[in-house]
Amino acid sequence: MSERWLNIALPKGRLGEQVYDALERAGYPCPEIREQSRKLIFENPACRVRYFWAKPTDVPVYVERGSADLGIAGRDILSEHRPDVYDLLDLGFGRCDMCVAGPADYREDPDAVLRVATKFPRIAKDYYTGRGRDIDIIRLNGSIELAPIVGLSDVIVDIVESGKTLQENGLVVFEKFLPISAHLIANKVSYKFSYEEIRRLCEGLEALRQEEGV
Amino acid sequence: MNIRRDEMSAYALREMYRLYGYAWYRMGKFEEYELYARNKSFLRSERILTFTDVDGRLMAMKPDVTLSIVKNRSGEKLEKLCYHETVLRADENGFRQIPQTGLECLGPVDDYLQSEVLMLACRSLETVDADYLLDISHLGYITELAALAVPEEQRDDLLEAVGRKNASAIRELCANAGTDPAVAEDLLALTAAYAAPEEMLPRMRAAVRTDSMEAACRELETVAEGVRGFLPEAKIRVDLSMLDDLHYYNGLIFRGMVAGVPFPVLSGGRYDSLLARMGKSGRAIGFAIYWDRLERSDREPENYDADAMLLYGADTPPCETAAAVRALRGRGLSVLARTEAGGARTRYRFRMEKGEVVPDE
Repeated sequence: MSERWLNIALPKGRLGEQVYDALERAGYPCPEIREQSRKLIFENPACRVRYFWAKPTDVPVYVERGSADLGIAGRDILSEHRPDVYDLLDLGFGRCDMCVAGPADYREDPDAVLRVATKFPRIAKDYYTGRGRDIDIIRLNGSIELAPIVGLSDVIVDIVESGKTLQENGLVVFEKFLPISAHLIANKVSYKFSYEEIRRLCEGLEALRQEEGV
Repeated sequence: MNIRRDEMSAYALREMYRLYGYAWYRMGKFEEYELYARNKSFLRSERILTFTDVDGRLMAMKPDVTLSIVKNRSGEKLEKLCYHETVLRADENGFRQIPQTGLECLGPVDDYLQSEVLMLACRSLETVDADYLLDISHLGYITELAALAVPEEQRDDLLEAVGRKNASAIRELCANAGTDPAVAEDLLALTAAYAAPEEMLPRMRAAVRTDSMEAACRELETVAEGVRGFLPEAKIRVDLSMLDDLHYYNGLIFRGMVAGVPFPVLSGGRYDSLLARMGKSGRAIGFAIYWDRLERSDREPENYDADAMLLYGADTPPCETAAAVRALRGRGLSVLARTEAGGARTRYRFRMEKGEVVPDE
């Protein structure tokens, strides 16, 4: 069987660039990706690899439907959307936490339904279901921190990296409940047909991770 | 007439299944809803298209073939049936028609019959594309290993991690449960592994810890050898992470894929529990090919008007053109012979030159 090309969906932004750097060091370079251009797809026939940038939340869609054999997605996106893909490797990049946060002086009323603003309704629901707590999920698409400040919600469930934005707005983290980092995911059929190539790439990234202590 | 690929292949498959004693099964267009309502956990989609018949009975429109076959089964004798049906199933976008071809073997199913079913699954995939893979596994093996690894309340989480080949989650769950490190290592290694039975089965055997695991291992070995007896070159792989259909299948399960199609196109396995649930005794194994998943791979040839275009001159004798067309047809190509290309699209282009067929660059 001839060696197949690997199509890799990278998330646009700093995380994607960090992961590409790691892939380059692991033996999958594609110099033209660093050139300033309007190109969408970059390939290197020498190592039979093709990269493209995608919106981070769309990466699992490309992988699940086989347009990409591999992709890099945050654990937050994987937990929220549960794509039918293999979750092969925790790359350790982009570490942060899924947290419950709210106003520093907030006191929970156990008799009232808790109003939770979030971009991650499934993660929030799973978390509170596990605690047997009734909640009213308020789905927002951005600026989640605003919700408890203006009285739209009691708390928020959101990703917290440094906690600086929360702090500047008088909010505090009540609980960190899900560590987040970038994961390497694979299409379930591509994994089978390109098993050797994908395992080699995983081992390359794993070795790099151990070497550099990511 | 443009005959659809599933119709052509279904006919070829039916003929092949017939050679191994499978009789043709035809289900009614509608069945009483109650049958499906009672067995919803065995359906791939719980949403069923229903209507009220003229006599007031609530009817279902073909959600599943296997349930219908099991319902109509009587007695305990061996029954081998094959079918081509279009079922109606719902996903997040609404109801869809799914043409499927499959077979079911019910009754005293033994290792030989399981091997025969797996061989027919391989041959069916080969009919679709020579570049295929058939993954096999045994639910009795991996669920037993998972049971040794973590307590029951964490079993579902562990099996989900296994199904995703998620090594970091498996490690985390095992660490939290204080799993025996040797069990955790075996679970991690066997979940990640993907190889032919000859390579995988010795590794599985080395990790056997209970009688159930031993029995599962032996069954896989026997069945894999049986398939090799039919088809030495069968492209079988063992993938123990295959766990998606735990509520439906028990024991041997398998799934088929062809290159270029991002989803499995064939799925099958043992479903004794469905028989027991419907008050029937015996064992059962079967599979189906889902033609809707192959629609996209069908599309490429349709982009062409024919495989080859043959351009001949106005003065080329018809007998020369006819001989050239016959030669191209003899190579299995469909041919569009004409004096000028026009807007026709073909994979290859040839022209007549001094009575010879030459590539038209």
